[in-house]
Amino acid sequence: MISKIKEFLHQLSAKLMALSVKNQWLLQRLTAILLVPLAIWLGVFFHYSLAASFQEARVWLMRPLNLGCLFVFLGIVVVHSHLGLKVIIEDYIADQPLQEKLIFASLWGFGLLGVSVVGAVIILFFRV
Amino acid sequence: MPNNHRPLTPHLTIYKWPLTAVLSITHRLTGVFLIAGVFVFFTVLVALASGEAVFLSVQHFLNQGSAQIVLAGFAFALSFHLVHGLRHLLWDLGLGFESSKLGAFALGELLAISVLTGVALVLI
Repeated sequence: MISKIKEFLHQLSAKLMALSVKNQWLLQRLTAILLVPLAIWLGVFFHYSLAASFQEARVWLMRPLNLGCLFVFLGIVVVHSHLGLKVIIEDYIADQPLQEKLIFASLWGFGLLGVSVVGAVIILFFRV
Repeated sequence: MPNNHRPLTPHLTIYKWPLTAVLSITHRLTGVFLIAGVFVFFTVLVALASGEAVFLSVQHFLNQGSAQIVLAGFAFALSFHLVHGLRHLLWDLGLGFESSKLGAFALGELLAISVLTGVALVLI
């Protein structure tokens, strides 16, 4: 079982790491465009987080539109952050093996972070 | 030639940096800073999902002076990354490369960033 999971993760990373440069470029632009309206939503989220009561903040976030924005934002921000960091690593780390290790760490770091937060939100909000 | 023996970029310190170049490197720096902001967002989110006591503790912490300075930094970084990101999208469309307009575009960006940061600080 564990060996199958390891094999699956290995194949998945190989596919994600091999995403063509053109597709990465397009994905970064697409996520950037989607993040423009979501940045306004983020501002409202922080307004409620800093100034509203717990009940007000929770009721606001539980509205279907806001829950939708939350999950879309989480997914997009994780992809956009990884792609941005990947470009920086490629530009400033000349050592090829180290560069590959850092990109791999970024990919799985952001991936696990995104999955953990989405999981935590589902479990905590909906008491699954 | 192996990649780890590539020639290095010329010594950047001997050039007078145009404003557009300063904005470009700042775009990257704000991007990295915003990754830290994502962790703050996740913390607030998990606190909100965890219950009133945890949420109020995090809210109290974020409303303290030092945290407010960091949040103001995030507001600036987000405004900067957003505005300069839009400029990158225009460049991707082949617009705004005329050397005569680069300086004016950069000043316009700084104005937009100041306004957006101000609005964000007032709203949050």
